[in-house]
Amino acid sequence: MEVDKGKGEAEETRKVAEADRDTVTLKSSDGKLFEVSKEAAARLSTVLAGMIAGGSIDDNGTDLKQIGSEALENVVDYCNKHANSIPSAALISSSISFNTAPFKEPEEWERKFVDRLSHDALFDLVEAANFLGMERLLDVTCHKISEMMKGKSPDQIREVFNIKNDYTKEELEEIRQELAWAFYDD
Amino acid sequence: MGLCLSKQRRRRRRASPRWSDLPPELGGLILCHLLSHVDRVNFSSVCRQWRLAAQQQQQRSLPPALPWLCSSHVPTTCLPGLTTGSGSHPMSFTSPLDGFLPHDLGVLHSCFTSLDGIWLLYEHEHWSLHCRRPRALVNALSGAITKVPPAVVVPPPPRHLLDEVSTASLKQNVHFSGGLWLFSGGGRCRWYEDMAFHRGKLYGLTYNGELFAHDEVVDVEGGAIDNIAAIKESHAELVVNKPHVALTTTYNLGAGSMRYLVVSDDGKLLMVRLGFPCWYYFVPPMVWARDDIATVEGMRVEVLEADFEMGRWVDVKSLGHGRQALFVSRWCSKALSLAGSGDNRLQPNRVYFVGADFTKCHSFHNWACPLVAMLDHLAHGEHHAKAQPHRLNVLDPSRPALLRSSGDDGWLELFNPGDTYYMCNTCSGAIIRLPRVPARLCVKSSEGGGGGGGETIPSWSIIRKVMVCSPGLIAAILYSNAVGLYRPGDTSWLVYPAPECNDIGFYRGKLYSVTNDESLFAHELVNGSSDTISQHVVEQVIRASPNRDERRNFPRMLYLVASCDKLLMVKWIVPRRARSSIRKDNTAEAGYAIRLKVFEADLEIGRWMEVKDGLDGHAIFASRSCSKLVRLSGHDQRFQGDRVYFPGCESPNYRTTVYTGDDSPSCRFYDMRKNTITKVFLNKGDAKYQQSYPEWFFPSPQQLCM
Repeated sequence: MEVDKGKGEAEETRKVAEADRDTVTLKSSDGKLFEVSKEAAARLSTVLAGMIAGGSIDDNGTDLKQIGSEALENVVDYCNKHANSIPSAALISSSISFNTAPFKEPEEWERKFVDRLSHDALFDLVEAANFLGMERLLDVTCHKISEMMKGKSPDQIREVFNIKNDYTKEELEEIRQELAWAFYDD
Repeated sequence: MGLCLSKQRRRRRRASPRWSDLPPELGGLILCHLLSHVDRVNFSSVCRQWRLAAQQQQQRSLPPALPWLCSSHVPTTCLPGLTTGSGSHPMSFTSPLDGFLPHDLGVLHSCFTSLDGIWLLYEHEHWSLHCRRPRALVNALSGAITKVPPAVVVPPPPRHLLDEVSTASLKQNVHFSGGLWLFSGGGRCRWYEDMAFHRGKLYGLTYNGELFAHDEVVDVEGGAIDNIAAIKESHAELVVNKPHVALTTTYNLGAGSMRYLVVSDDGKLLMVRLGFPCWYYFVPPMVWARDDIATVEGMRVEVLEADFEMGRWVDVKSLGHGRQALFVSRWCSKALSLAGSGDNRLQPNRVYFVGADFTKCHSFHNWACPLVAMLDHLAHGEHHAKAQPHRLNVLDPSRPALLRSSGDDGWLELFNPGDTYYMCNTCSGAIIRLPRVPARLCVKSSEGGGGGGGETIPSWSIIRKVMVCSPGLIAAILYSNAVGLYRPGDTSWLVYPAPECNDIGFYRGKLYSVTNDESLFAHELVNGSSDTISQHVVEQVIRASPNRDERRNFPRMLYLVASCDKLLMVKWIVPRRARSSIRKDNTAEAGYAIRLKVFEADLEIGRWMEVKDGLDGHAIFASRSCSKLVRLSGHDQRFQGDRVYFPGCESPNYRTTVYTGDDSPSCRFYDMRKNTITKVFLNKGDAKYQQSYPEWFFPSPQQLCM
C-alpha cells in the first residue's frame, strides 16, 4: 500500500522533474541511453554526485563504459524505485552511530528487486554498484549473494556459482590441514 | 523435490564462470554479510580468488562472527534445549552406538553451539592406545559446512519450520518433568509425552498412546511465549484412541517405551513408538555388530499414522513413499526427505533418534545419542573409518580437562585438575600455558573487597575470566577480583590488586577494567629499567559514579563490551526490593523492576554516556567470560538487534553458585526498545541451578584462512 502511495507521489515529482529537466542521461557501454533523476542519482551514487557537482555530465549521455545496458537498466530502475519508496525509520540514523557498517535489512521492494535477477545480472549489478559508488545498492546485492551461500559447503557454492575448483591437490590438502577442525573428508 | 532439481539445473546453466573472478573488494563485502564463522570458512575455500578476498578482508576488518557455545557435558544437558525455536532438527551423523564398537568412528566429546547451529565435536578413540583424537566437527542442525555428511543439506520446508518453532517454544513453557509435559489450559491439565503442531492444531500424545487435539493455540512472535496463558482456552478433545495392542505387552511386564509425535512431509501425523525390555534400565543392552549393521537386542521401533476419521492408529510400512526419514527427540521431531542423499548414513525409511532421551535409563547413559532405527530392524549407517590427523589434540583423556570458561575469539580456557590452566585456540589448536596464581590470591576475600576472609577457594575457580589480548599478552581477573597480566614466557602474573574489578575488556590495544562503583581503569605493561622486569601500570580513566545510594541499593552486574570503535558497559540492575518480590513477568512497573542500561565510555572527558536509542541494529552478547557487540542481519526471529543477550549462566555478585534465578540475567535477553526480559532456553528448561553450564565464545576471525 505504501508503495502504491509512493508511486503516485513519485509520478508527480517526476512530472515536476521533467519540467525542470532535472534528469541525467547515462550511456551504457553498448550505447543505450537511460534517464535518471538528478536528485536520486546524486543521493545514491557518490560517483554520479561527484560528476554532477563537477559538471562533467554530458547532456547527450554520460558515458559509462564499464557498465553494460542490462546492468545500467537495473541501476536506473533501482534509483527510480528508491526515489519512490518512503524512507523507513530504519534508514534515518539514530543518535548513536556505529561505524561497523550498520547494515539495514533490505526492505521488501529491495528484496524483490534483487530476487528477480539472474546470477549473471546480479554479478553485473554488484560490479556496477561498486563502480558508481552506490553504497546501499552494494549492500543489498552483497547481502543477496551472501544469502545464496549461507549453509552451503564449498562444493555446493561452486556449483551454484559455476566456479571451477582451481586449487591443486597439494593446496587442497594444505587447506584441509589448516582447517582440520572444520573439514572432514572420507 | 523435482522442482528443486530443475531450479538447480537452470541456475547452473545461467551462472557464467565469471564468479570466480569476483573482485576481491566485492568478495570482502560479501564476506562481511556472512555472520556464521563456518560460512566464512567455506567462502574462503571456494577458489583462489575468493580466498584472496577473504585474506584481504580479514586484514582490513571483519565484523565479529556469531558466538559459539561450549559445554563440557553436552549430550545430556545441552542438546535438547538447543533446538529451542531453531526450527531445524539436531541431526547427528555418527554411528548410533558410540562407545560400543571398537572400530567406531568417534565419540561425541563436546558440543559447541553457535547461533548458526550446533557443532558437535567428535573424537576418535583408540582403544588400544588409550588416546583420543578430535576428528570431526559436525553441524548438528544442517550438516552444512562439513563433508560430514558429504553434501547433504535438506532444508526443511517453511511450513515445518513454523510448526517447529511453535512447538519448541510451547514445550519450553509447559512444565517438563520426568519426561512428560504437563499441559494445562481451559481449567484442565493433562500429561503429554510429546506434542506437535499439525494443520493448525496442537496435538498432545499421552503415555499410553492417546492423542488429544487442542484448538486456538496462539503463537507468539519470535518463538518465545512468556507463559502458558498464551494458550487460550484449549479445548482438548480425544481424537485418536490408544493403539489396540499396547507395545509394552510385546515384552515382559514393566518394559520401557517412549513415544514421539512427528508430522510427516506429506502432512500426516505420525507416532513413533520405541519399546525396550525392562532390564535396559539396569544393564546396557547387548549389541551385535555385523558389517555395517548393529542390532540392539530386544529393542523395537514402530511407526503409526493417526487415522482421524476412524480415530485409530494405523501401521506405517514406509515413510513418505520411501523418501523420508524421521528425526525424533524429546524436544523437536521432524520428517526430512532424504531421497537421493549420497550419504549412506542418511537414508530414507529410517527413524533417527537423536536426542539425549535415553538417559533416564541409567545403562543408556553412555549412548545417550544418537540411535538410528530402520523400520525393519535397528541399524546404524555405514561409516567411513579413517582417522584424521588433527591439531586440536589438547584434551588429555587421562585427565579430563574442564572447559570451565570461554575466551574471546576462539580461545577456550582449559583446566586440568591438579594441573595448571592453559588456553587453547579451538580453531588452530594453539596452546598457551598460564602460570600459577600467587597463593595469597587464592584466598576468598570477604564481602566488599578488603583483605580478611580466610576460606581457600577451589583451584578451578581461581581465574574468573581470562582473555588473550594478543599472542603476547593475556589478561585475567583472578578470584579475589584483582587484574592480572601475563606475557607468555614470563614466570608469573603481574597483578594489580583492584579488589572490586567487575569485568575487563580489551579496547584499542589497551586493557580496561571496570569496578563495582563504575570506575574505569586502563592497564598497561610497561617495561621497567631492565628488560626482563615489566611493570603493571594502572590509570583511572573514568571516576566512580557519585550516586552512592543507587550503588548501595541496587545489586547489579557490570559487563564491558569492546567493539572496534567504542567501549560499552552493560549494567544489569536488580533493585533490592525486586529481589524479594520477583514476579513472574520481569517487566514489573514502578522503580523496582529489573533494568538494564548500556553506557558508552567517553574516554576524553572521562564519563559514561547512556546509550538510549537502542544499539542501531546491533546486539550485545554478554557473559562473564566474554562479551561482544554483534551486527545482526537476517530473518532469524530469535536473534534481533537492539537486544542484550545473556546466553550463558550469570551469577550475580552476591551469589557464588551457578544460578539462573529470576534476578539473574542467565539465559535471557533484554529488549532495549521494549524494556522486556525474555527467557532463552539454551539449556534444559527450568532448572534453576545447573550442574554444568554453557559458556560462549567467539570463533577466531584469524582462523579464516592463513
